[in-house]
This record gives sequence, C-alpha cells and structure tokens, in this order.
Amino acid sequence: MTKRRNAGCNAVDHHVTRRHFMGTGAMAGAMAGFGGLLTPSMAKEMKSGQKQILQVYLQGGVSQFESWDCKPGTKYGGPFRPISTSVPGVQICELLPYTAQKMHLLSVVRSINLQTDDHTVGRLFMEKGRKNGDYPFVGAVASKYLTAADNPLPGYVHITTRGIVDQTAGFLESKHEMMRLEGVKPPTNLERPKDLSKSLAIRAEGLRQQLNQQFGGKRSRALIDSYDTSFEQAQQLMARSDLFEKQDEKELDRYGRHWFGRRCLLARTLLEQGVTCVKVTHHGYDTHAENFNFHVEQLDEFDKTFATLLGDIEDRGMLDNVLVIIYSEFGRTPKVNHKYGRDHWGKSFSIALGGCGIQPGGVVGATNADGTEVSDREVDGAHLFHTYMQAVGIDSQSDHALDGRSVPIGDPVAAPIKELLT
Amino acid sequence: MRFDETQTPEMDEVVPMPENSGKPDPKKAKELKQFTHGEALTNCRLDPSGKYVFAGAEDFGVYRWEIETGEKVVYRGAHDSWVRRIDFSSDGKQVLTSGWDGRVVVWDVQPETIQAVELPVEQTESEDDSEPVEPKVELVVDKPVRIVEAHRGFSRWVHAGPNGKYIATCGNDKIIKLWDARRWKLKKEFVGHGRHPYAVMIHPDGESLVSEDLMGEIFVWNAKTGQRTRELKSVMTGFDNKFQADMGGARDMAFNADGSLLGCAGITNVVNSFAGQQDPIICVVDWATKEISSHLRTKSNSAGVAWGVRFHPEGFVVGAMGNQNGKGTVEFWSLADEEAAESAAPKEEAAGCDDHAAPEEPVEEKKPREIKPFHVVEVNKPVRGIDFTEDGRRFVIACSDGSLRVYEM
Repeated sequence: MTKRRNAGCNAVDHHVTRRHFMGTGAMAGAMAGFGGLLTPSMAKEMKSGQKQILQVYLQGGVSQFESWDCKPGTKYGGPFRPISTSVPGVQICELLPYTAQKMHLLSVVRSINLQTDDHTVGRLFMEKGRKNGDYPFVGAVASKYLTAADNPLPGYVHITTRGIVDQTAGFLESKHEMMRLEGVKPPTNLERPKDLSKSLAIRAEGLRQQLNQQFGGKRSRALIDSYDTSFEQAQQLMARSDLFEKQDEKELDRYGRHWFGRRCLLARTLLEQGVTCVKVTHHGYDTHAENFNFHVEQLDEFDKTFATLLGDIEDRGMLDNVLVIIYSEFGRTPKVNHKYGRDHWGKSFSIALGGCGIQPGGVVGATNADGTEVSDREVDGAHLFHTYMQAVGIDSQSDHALDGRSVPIGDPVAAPIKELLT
Repeated sequence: MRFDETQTPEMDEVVPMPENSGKPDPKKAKELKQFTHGEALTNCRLDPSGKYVFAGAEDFGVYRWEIETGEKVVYRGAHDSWVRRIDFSSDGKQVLTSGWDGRVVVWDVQPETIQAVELPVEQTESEDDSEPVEPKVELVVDKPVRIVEAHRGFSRWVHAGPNGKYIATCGNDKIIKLWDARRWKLKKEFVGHGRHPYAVMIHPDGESLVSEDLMGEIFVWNAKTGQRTRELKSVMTGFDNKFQADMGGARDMAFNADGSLLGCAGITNVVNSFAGQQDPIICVVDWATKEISSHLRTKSNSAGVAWGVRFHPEGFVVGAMGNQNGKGTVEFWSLADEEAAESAAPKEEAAGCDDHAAPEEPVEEKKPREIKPFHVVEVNKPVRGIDFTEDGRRFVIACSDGSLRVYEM
C-alpha cells in the first residue's frame, strides 16, 4: 500500500500501527503478508489485536421497511410496527426483537442510494465500493492487509449454500480469493485421497516445489508465491479438519438448528481461529411475492441467531477487533405489488454495522416520510467501502501497490462516513 | 345508526339489485356493482344478513359497504396494522377482525354511533381549482366493543364457533387459542405446530378444531381435551430451493354447512415462491375419514395463490385466485363425481370427540382426486377474498386494486 493521500484519517491505535507494517511490507515487495516482517513479540501483539470482519449478507435484498427503517402507518409502510431498542430513541422493525436488544452495539445507515435495482450491479457495488471495474471485494482487501503470514487459515471465507460465484480478489493475488464453504461442510477434497499414502503425498509436494522453482527461474515470484501460499493454506487447513467436526449441541440450541444457525456458529469458530473476513449468507430476501410472510420467516431465523453471534463476539472481547456488517445488494420497493411483494429498490435503503472502529448506537442519514427517497446524508457503496476499510485500520485513501503501478484502494471520489468512525 | 344527515357521504354509483329466481347458476354469474377503495384490499366477508360487506385493506382500516346503497363506513383506531381475517358472531351482531398487530377487535356490525368526519382538503379531489371545494365526508366508527391482545405477533385468524360459545384464533406465537365468546376469557391453548399456523376453524359440531400451518400440516384437535387427534400432511407447502425458504399454509379455510367437508385454500408445487411461481390449490378434507379427498386445480394452471374457498349451498366448491400475472379468477368445482365414486366404498363412522377419545386409528392412505373446475369467472385483477350470501345467489370478491365487486348468479 503506497501514496497515502490523507494523513489525517483516524486509524485504530496500535503500539505499532498496522498501516506501518503494510506499507513497509509493500515496499519490501513482500506479498505473503506482514507476518514475516514482525518480531515474534510484535507478531503476537498483532495477532492478539488482529482486525477482522464479519459480513452477514442477506441475499436478495432485505426490505428496509421490515428491518432498519420502519415507516408505520404510511402509504408504503406495510403491516409491521417499530419497536424500541437498547438505544433510546432508535427504533427498528418488530421482526428483529433480539437484535433490538443489541442495538447499542450497532449503528444504522438509512440513506444508501446505489442508483441501481440490479442484483449483480448492487452486489458488486456493495462489495467492491465501485460500480464498475475489476476491483477486489471487501473480504479480499481485508485478507491482503490484515492476515498474518503465519495464519494457517484462508483470509476470506464465505459460508453459504448457494450463490453466484464472483471473482472476488480482483487484481489482488489469488490467495486472497474467497474460499467458499458449502454450509458447514468442510471444503471439498480437504481429506487426503484414501489411495494416496502420506509418504507419497509428501513426495508429490516436494516435486511440486521443485517444479515451481524451475518454472520460477527468472520469472516474477509474485504469482508463484501466491500459488505457493494457496497450497500451504490448503495443507494447513487439512490439518484443521476439527473446525468442521460435529457442532456442539448446546451451542446449536442457542444458535438454532437451522442452516443459518449452523453457519453462524461456524462463523464464530472461524473468527475465533483467526480467519480475517468471514462472510455468512442468509438466503431468501428477494421477495417479489409474499414479502411480509417471507420476512416473518426469514428474519425470525436471522434475528435470534445473529443476536446470539453478536453477543458471543462481544462476550469474548472480540468486538473491538471485529467489524460486523449486515447488508444486502439493495432494499425493496416502497410500493407493495399485487402479490404482496416488494420489488428491487436501490434508491433508499439501509444497512447496519458495528464493532471494530464503528461508533455504536447511531443512526446515519434518513429517508423521507414514505421512504421513497433519501432525505439526508446520501451515501453509496463507495462511501461504505471507505468506511469499512477505515474502521479496520486500512487507509482506503491510499493505493494498492501492484507490479509497477498503484490503484486507489477506495474510490477516490468518495470518502468514509466519518461520523460512523471512532 | 345516526350521523349528521346535512352532510352527504360519498358513495359509489348505486345500481339496483335485480330480482332473481331459480337455482343459482355459476355460468350466469354477472358483476352487478363495484365499490372502490384507495388501497389494496386484503379480504372480504358478507355479514350473515347479506346487507353489508366488510373488507380489510392495506391500511389500518376495516371498511363496511352497504351493498344496496354503496354507503361506505370505516372502522378504525383499534388496529395498528393490516386486518387479515374477518368473521361474525353467531348472532351476526358483531364483526371480529384479526390483524398483523396481534389483536382481535370486536365491533358492532351496526353501531349506534357513526361519525361523519370531514376529510382534509388535500384528500378532496377537484377538477377545477377555481371552484370552491365541497368537503368530502367520511363515515367513521372508532369505538370498538373490545380489543383483545390475542397473540404475541400476528393474529392470523379469528373464527367464531357455530354455537356462539367459543372463538378460535391463531397467531405467530404458534399457539391456537380458544376463547369464551362472551367474556373473551381464554379457555384453552393448543400447542404443537412447529411453524406458524395460518388458519383455525371450529367444526360445526363444536367439538373439534382444525388448524393448518406454513408446512401444510393440518391438525385436528379435541376442543375439550386439547389433544391432537389427527395429523394430515397436505401438499400445501414447498421449499424454495433457490432462495432456501419454506412457503405454504392455508390462506383460507371453510367447512360446508353440515361439516362433512373442509376446504383449505393455498399453494402447492413451489418453484419460486419469491416470484409467486407456484400453483394455487384447494384441498378438500373428508371430515368422516379425516383424509384429503380432493385436490381442486385451476383451469389455466396459472401460477398464483388460492386466497378463498367456500362451499356453495348447491354443493359445489368455489375458489378465489390471485394470479402471478396480475389477474384473477373465481372458479367452480363439482365434487359430485367423487361423491358418487366414493359412495360405493364403505366409510368409517365419524369419530366422536369427547374427553376420553383416543387418537384415531390410521386409515389406508388414499390418493386425492385431482379435479378441474366446471366453470371459471375471469377477473382483471388478483382476487384476495370471496364470500357468499347465505342463499348462495350473490358473492363478493376483494381485489388487489382496492375494488370490491358484487356478483349475482
């Protein structure tokens, strides 16, 4: 990372700042992460204060009316009522009673306008902070700048059941690409094939390294190092099959025995074990029909589970270091259609976030009385991306250092939502 | 009823209702009049006298139209949410409304006082701005007889039992509740649905209740003991593989007059319920055997939802459909062929429901008959509710465009 354009941003304080390490690492051409540059004591300190991200993606577009921005009794308000939260004066939808009791840990942004109602465009904008271009996702950037080199686990893990396969690392090294887990099952081929003996596997790995060295020759090491790291990560992950063993029954009682409960419990485990960015997808919010019944069902599943996960992160003292983001690719239309559905709506919707680097208990921005447009503090995916990065101590207004060129980390035309940052 | 008669309430054009003779014939069904409302309607019910039709809407009001005159009255101030289900006390004097706010509200069908309230100027249309605008007047009932906080979460259903003693409700707390109809004292709770129950009805014999949940599970309960005496797994549910969620449940439920048949309206064959891609269906339960005897399918197989079911006094079944394509139908099925076929087979005795009744023995599973309608009335908007007058000559439908349409046949 080079060319800091804004020296005045408020990063999270460290005895040794992360930015310093990342900058030094980039200049030294170290592509394998910062860990190798640290003294053991510094590495320990960094590991203990490792910044992480938890993304909870409500796939399809959760309705802002039925979640973070209720408009009770208005033309488009729908049937649900607002409830009070643990933050005086802040109300959210009655479908989120458990989350309401955790709102002192979260803040809401109610003024997002992506100017698109397209799933793909919206999703990529919310992940990359850019509407167009081959830029890396939030998780990939976090993987690059926040993952210690000696971390045996991938930097960016997505727990889902289905979903569009995006190219998430952009121009970053492939080792920062998202690792997708199908539910709580281990990655496919995690186990050594039964007909491959351990000694043969070691010999095969030796051969691979030898061929790598020969192929590397006078070529740039960056790409080969990246593949090497991927192999090493895979090998280290093979040694951690315990992460995917049967989940604790008592914990499942707390999280819920549905798929989302199991995914969130695995997410907690992965965060505890040091995965830098864990993304959990909860499907089922593209409610063109039966918006209200589906939100009853889906948010009922989401609410208690998410509140349990957030509470556990807090109870473990991790929340200062884990940025939590609950988001969708857009919201839902104010108008209710003839199928009791709400359609795509990217013009005025909400997200919630909290934890690392985020001022809790706040509400940023507003929509008008009917929720049809943003009335205050309009932001988009670029502002949010800057905010996420700044919250975890990455200077989003500096550049990625690539082979001979630099690319701004965040969109230069946008800035973080400073009032959200600590 | 009294209100300031110097002010004339607005009402839709009134068309005299024709006299009718002979048996009601669905093929002669004809729309007689249409009342309009500014918001989409959610359901409708005719009061037992056939004089008034009540409808819920996608606002917080309940609306009463007098069919002959078109006079519209809004019942408001008691619900903080949309009204899902409307029913009447057995004497027909009170109307019960249940809503997404968890409440059941009891109102007088013909309240002593109806206020005439001037609408704000911005709600009064004028074609010529230079002309002085005559304020419009809204007739309002804002004093309910009773408000019952019936369920934690959405009160999806309210049904007044046939003997006037009990009211049944269900809600998103997953509990079926039986209330004393006079004092609204909770008599019994029925717990067992794993997912949200969508509807509950008291059988005409007053001894049993039947409920259906999101997963299409139909439970029969002994009203006295609270025991579950029968479980039926219907096809009225589905898991949407793409979006990873369940959808289903009864959107309407009705017994025929003698209680020998139960109709459950809803969906089946879920493909993508998030886009409304599933088939409407009405499942008919033979109450004697407690088996699903018939699946009533629509003529066109259009994707959508069956929002209403009624048993006509002439013996046929009527269903109301809201289709994915933005249109609707009212469809008519005859069960006569099925009845004839089944009359050859011996039927089990109807099981009594008393304190000592044991769960019924399982009977051999019989595949329901698939039946197509013998007649369809096309409607240019999705239909969300249907009800008949007691003589079966008129029916009303509530539509998603806010129209309430009266038919005669």
